[in-house]
Amino acid sequence: MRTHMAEVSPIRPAADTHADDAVLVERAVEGAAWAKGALYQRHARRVIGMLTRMLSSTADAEDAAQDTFILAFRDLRQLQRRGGFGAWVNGIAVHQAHRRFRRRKLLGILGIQSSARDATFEQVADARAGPEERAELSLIQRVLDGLSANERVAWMLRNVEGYELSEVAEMTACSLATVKRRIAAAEERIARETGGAR
Amino acid sequence: MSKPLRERLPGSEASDAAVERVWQRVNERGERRVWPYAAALAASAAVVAFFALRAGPCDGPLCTQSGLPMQAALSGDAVDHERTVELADRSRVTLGPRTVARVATNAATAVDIELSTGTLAVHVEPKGPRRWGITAGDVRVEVVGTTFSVARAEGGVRVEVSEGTVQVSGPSVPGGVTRVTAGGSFTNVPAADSPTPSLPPKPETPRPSPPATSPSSPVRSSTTKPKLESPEQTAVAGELPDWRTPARQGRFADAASLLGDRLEAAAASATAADVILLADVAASSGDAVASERLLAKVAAMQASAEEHALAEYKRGQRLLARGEAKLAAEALEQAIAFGLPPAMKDSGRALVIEAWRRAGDAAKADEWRTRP
Repeated sequence: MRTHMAEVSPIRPAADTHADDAVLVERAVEGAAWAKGALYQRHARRVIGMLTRMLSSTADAEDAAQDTFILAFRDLRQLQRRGGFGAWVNGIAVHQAHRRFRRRKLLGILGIQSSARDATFEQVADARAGPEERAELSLIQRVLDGLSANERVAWMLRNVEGYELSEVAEMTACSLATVKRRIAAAEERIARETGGAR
Repeated sequence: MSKPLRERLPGSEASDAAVERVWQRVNERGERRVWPYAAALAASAAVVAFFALRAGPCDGPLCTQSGLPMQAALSGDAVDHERTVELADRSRVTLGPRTVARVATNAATAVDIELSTGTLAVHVEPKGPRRWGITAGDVRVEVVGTTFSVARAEGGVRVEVSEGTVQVSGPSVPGGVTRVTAGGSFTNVPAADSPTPSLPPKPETPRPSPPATSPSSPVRSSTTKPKLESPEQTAVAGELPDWRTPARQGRFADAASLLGDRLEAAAASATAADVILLADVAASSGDAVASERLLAKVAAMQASAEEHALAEYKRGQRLLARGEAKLAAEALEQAIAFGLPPAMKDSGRALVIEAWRRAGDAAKADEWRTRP
């Protein structure tokens, strides 16, 4: 069991960070390295945590987070809504998670083992969780592993990360209707295979 | 909507070490200037394609399957869990918990890894173009294609071979060089007057071994577990054990277990650098308050400006992590005033802005933001 952090940071940056993000993005675009550092400090923990839960692997999550921020800083000029850095970087992270799901699938077909899964729900559960709760989390994880990447990501952004449907749509770059359909499909499968454990 | 499942998964939250590690990697790769070289790359594309088609997928420096340079994948702070790096040529390196290693050479014909401490299990894809070498202290292991592991702790090295043959060399090897074949092992145990050696046990045999009985023979080659004393066993009652060595190697949990409840006793006679190290040991044990107290103690000590800066920087980081934003901002400002090393200046400034913002002082955050 991995050591767990005592404190759970907010799911989203507080509202006032948007104004700050806009200034920091402006300065970062102008070439200020410290502004990139400030943006990173503000959003990295959330992004790495989200990727860890999605990919169930700390090594993959760190790789994906690295690529996420490299791409984000490289393409910062393209960010139209300067205050929307948080949502934008989340979208890049989701894209990176998709890439790794595709790679795992390919490696699986080729019979090559991908990175160790050291952050499954059961492994990162609260140390105080009882055996029943762990069994439930393990079951949910198993069902999620069997879902398509699109359904899995949409369901996780909504139910694990706690984002609004509109935010999930923005991060996954698809319509609200598509997001709802994917989440509904995932819910149905989870309910069927866990007997409504959630 | 019900509580997000995330709140039931606290172990998935990113640690400070992970945030720092990723930032270092972002900087390492982010500073690459790709576009200035684009023209040169385009001009040489045909040549590269020609050789790529002839020579296979991973000539030149070896990278991971995800395209990360091998140096970046293997280096970094020691972590508490095992991690495996899958390489593009299908070779594989598994770093045991708290292992510190560094890629010294990564070229088309050779890969050299220096093992500072811990365990490396290596599978080298046979018939590959590279000669692999692992250096652990004065012991060197060389292979072309095989599966083996190298474990190193203070003073001792163990090599175990699962497949193929490796060549082990070094001044402490009988005759200077020996070959170890599949199923065999080589153990190098230092003389009795060497500083408290302790080899990490194999993962499946975690119990500590009994004390060595043949100190006059510094090198043994055997298939048995090494017979060495652990630092805990050699610690004399009343004296502090050697906590610095594991702490300097990033094995803070080991240092903490050696110190037990004698953290403050160790700090009483320590130098500023050691107090900063002890603060890291305390933080890694989850004792943030003791860590901050130790770092605050540095302010009253005879220390260099850099040590003062480092102590305040770390104190600021920890205060910020536990929500004491104003105190964190003040500590970080102190750190900057003392003069942070160049590599830490940007992150120091970023942290102080974030701390003032979280403290609700937008004016101070803006002041730092607009400073030239």
